[in-house]
Amino acid sequence: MDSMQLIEAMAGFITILILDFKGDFVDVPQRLGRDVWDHYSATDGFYFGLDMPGGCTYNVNWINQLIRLFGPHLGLKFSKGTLDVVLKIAVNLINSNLISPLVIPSLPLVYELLNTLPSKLITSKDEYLRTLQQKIGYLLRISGQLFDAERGFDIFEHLVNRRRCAVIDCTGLDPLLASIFANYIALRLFFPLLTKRQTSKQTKYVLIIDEADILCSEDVSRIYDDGYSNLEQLVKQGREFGVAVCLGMAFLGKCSQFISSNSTYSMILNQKEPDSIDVAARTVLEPASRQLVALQQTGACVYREAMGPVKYGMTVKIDRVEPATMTRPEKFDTHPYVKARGIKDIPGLQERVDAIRNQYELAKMRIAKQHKITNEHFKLSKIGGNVLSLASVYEFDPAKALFDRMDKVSPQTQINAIKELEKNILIESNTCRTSHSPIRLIQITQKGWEFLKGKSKFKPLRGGIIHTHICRWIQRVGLKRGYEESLCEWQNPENEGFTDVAFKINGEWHCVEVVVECENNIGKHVRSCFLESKVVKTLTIVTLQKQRWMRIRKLIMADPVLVPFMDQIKFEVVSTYYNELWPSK
Amino acid sequence: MSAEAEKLFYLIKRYRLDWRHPRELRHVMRKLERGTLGQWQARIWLRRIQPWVKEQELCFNPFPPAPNQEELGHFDVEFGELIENPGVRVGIRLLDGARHAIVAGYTGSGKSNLLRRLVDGLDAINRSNGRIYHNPDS
Repeated sequence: MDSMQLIEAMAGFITILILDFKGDFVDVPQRLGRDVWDHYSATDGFYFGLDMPGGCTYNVNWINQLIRLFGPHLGLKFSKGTLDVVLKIAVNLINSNLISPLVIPSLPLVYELLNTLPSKLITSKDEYLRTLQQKIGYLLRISGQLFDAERGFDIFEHLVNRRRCAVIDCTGLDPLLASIFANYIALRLFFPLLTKRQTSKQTKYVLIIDEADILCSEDVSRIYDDGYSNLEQLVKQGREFGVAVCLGMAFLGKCSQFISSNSTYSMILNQKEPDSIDVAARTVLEPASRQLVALQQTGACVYREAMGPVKYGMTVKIDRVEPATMTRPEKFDTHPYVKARGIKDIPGLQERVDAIRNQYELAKMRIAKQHKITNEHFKLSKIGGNVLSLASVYEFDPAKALFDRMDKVSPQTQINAIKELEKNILIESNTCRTSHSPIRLIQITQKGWEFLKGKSKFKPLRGGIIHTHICRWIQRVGLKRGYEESLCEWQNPENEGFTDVAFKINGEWHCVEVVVECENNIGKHVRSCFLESKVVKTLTIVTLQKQRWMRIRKLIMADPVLVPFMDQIKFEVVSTYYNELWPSK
Repeated sequence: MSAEAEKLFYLIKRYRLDWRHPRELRHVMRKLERGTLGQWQARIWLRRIQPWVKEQELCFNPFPPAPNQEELGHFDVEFGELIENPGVRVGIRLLDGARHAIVAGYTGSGKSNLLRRLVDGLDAINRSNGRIYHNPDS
């Protein structure tokens, strides 16, 4: 100690949290001492609740943050609103007195409520609810016991206050779950610091994530509405609150700009991929260092400290630490948690849910009664009535085909009849602009079915009128051609992806994707069909007009991993199916 | 300017030798820029820079010469030493504010080793009740 000089005695305890995705840190708790280190496993005895971390009381903000996290990762767009409503209703139901801190429902309870509450109460369209049910159900299935808690792991309660550090073993986690896990940890660490404004001039928390490629890639940032994930937000704003993040990654080329530009220390070890070499050279602010970066030996790195006393990069030989030779332990540490409760387990919740359902039924009956009174007052014209009854028998037939079944009706009368039905909200109509002529489509509304005292023979599909009609036409063509199966909204058995229409021909599945407006998710569909599954033989993309093929092809080709599948992707226009069903006379 | 001097100037600039060895080449560069370096002097310098050129040809290092510990300052968690100036320790600083780090490297290049080294250093700080020491001899 005599030869050592004391520089600072004020560092305080640094809470270190390691997310171990590869098992490289398996020996750390044992080697460095169990008196400070805990070893958890995300798949064994580790629980997350949706409860507010670190004793926060910003309830609405927290729920918004939960939606912001789960929405993009689960691929929710319009269903995000439904999740928001369910969470807020659930909070109101569980907490009879709305006094902070509120109990936030667990994810399994949210799922249960999604299946229990009247759909019209929580969503504007049933399809949003179905999407949400599928996605949350899938998350609960792949996460095992992870979210089965009302109050689970809390960094402040279980680590910071007890002056402990932890390694969380995340090996073998599903990539979706891994992404949610890391971002949720980042959110639970950052949210209390931000809301309580606990700034620090020293490093108090260190989050270390090795193999962070999938967490830091630009693709992840893009799925968020505001362009950055919770982990990126932590990197961007966490410095002020004493949070340091160390990320290990293989490919710097795909690393998000939020991460690379906000990192003070860049340690660039050997890089082999051309993109990563370029980005690495730019990161150390020396484009000419590309060769150096690519030719480094194991254990050597180019080191640069932004805003440090030496402004340029240096080559560094890293001290060797013996690699972990330990096998993964059979038992991991556990932490105190409150198990997730179902509707029946929470005193009085079942009664409150029943009361809501009864109130909803009463309101529905009142509205139906009012509708009945108003319905009795209007009388449809003969043509209008005929169109409505034909539309109920020949669902998804275009307006032209319906009028063809009637005696000669002049174009003006046709327009008047549709206008009359639309005015009384008995039908919705839209015009589909194909390559040769516009096609008028009509769909009976809920009120229309009530007026007819009947209901649709088909399940509602995702998308608007045009998308639904085209899907049903293609399905009908499949049946007409005599395929073994012809299904709408077919779920791929190997992943959570849905395809608009699927045909089974000679035991092989051929999928059809209908692109009406949104082209951006086409890459996701192609991935789901070919990369994440092996059961799909071909994918046909159906558009309204031929001119969109090139743009879609470019979108698919932009993702290099999808290029080999271009041979299995075909393009068709809607007219092909339309003409097969209603050949021109 | 003689052909030898021109070649010398080209090699120095091509391999950034004036950047890598500023002290040694300061006078020569001044003479080359003024055009006053003689033919025989250029030949001597061409022989002298040969090892540096070979070194750069082997693996082009565009950075200036490695600093000493005084220039670099001291680090709270050290993980290695400079290759060009062994004994000069390098690491990360924690006390005057949190800073993020990215460790990028191909499989097997040693990124997990580096992160493990950082974990060891951080744990050492925790175990010394937050006190950080450095060896003034290093």
